[in-house]
Amino acid sequence: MKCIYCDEDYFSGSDLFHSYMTRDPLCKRCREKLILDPVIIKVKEMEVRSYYLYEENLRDLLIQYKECYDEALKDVFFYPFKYDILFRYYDRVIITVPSSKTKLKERGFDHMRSMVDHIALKKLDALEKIEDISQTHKSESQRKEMLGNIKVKDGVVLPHKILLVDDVLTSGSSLLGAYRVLCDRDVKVLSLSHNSAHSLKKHVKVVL
Amino acid sequence: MKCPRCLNEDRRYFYKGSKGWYCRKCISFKRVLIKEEIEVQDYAISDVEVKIELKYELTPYQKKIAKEAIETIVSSDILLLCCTGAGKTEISMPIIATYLKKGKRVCYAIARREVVLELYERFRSTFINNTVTRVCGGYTDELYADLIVCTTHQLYRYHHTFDLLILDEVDAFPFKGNDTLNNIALTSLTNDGRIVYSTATIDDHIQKIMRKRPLKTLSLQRRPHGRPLIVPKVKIRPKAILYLELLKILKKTDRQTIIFTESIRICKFLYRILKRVFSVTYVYSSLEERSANIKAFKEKKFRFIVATSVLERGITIEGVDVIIIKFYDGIFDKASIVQMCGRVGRSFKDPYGNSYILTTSKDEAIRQAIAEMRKANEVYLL
Repeated sequence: MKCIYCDEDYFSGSDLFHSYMTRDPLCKRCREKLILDPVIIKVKEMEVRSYYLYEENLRDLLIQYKECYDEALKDVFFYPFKYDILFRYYDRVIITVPSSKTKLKERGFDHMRSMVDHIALKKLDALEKIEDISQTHKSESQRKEMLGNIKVKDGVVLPHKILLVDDVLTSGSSLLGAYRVLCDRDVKVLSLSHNSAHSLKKHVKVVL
Repeated sequence: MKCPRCLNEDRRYFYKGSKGWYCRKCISFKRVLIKEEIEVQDYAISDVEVKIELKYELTPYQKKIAKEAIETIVSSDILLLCCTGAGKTEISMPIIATYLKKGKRVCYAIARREVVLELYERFRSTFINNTVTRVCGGYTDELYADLIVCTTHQLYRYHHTFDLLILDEVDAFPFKGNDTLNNIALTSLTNDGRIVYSTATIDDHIQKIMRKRPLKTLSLQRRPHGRPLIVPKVKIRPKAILYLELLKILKKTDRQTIIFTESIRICKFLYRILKRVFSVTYVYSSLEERSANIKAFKEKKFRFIVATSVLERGITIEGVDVIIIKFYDGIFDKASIVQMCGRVGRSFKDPYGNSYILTTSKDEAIRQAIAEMRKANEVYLL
């Protein structure tokens, strides 16, 4: 058996628990390279729970998934927190932050939606972008303009309890935009990773 | 099933996504669907007179090899086997010129980014009338020109494009032992395109390539200034005494010296010690000011440079000595030892020099490398 990412032997360098008790698609060496830093971050009125630190290895993994369109990696990201999410937010419906329509057409899959596919909660495609603006080469002030760029799809009835999910928290503007659209409901926010600038500030550290 | 880009047929690597089956072996170069037809970019060679301007005249030996190569490339692919400093790039220039004159597309690919940047300047000063572009990490806005100089990783951009592809330094990491990169290089050729591999040492990977695709070997084991390769002196000592030995050598010499180390950790450690006594700089792949440090060393601002294997290939510095510090097995192999010793005595003005290997035990790689250099020197005895 080979690791899905590094293409080397899955069992070498692993322990018994990781080899046989989990069904983690990543081998232990790859998993240990990702830096775990569970934290609750306050961005204005919103509280975000985040798991990983966004650094080199996670960036490479995300780039292979998002930019090289490697769909096979979809279960890798939220795998260790599968049950944590399930028990903590058992009565909520997952809504993911939307990506632009041109990217969606090119990829052929919604990258956030397939990332949470293996979590046993209800999911709803409720949000969409108004204009196609790519976020990657934007400065922080330009990113703040993104706030009003998200809307609820026509004809979608929003549930009362929502879990909003995104992959990377940098300035927080895209998450905040989605949060404000859904603001009259009970919304909790979850992010896969956060920028190192957030981990330097004093936040509530969480024990998993 | 077969991947149209990397020719992979192993079923483990195929995955069915929402757009259909795709290959995961070459996924780092963006997804390619199995049924997808990759776009072939059409570009024309500019219609100007091809002119070569060399700083030095080619030696009779080089002219003979170049002439032979032009004759054989009509019928088969070529493996150009030249010792370090024999002028592989100069020999390939007449071949490129003959292809450009016919209006065909040519690419020069090499594994290392530093070497691409240096070769780009050289080709631009040689082919004055034609346009030359460099394609590597950081320079990807201009993709098409008469002559393309690129890293082997960028070849995925050119599917079925080239009539002639020259692959230099085939024995260098990351190309060495990498079948995916070799297959991508093969698919970047047109149906009747030709490929020229050029290298200093033959290893298992090239023999494997030769078995699949017949190559005709042309060899030149003679440097243009007519002096033999400098065979390194090997010193076998315990680890601590090796450092003393290094200090002793450095104290004696009045020449510039490159000190090759096996890892970044040893490189930093040596730099920290040596900078208290000597004028010394250092370089490794992830260092930000690496090109500035190399430039300062070339301008003779420092006497010594501590380096990892980034300085191993393609770089010519006049009148240097080389010291290789080898503690572990398996990091420096035969090819890299031959290349590192090949930095010594490359220029016409100063074809002499010294090279040392400081090691804790003499292993197979050192033995083979020395044997290969001695064998290459045999031509001078005749």
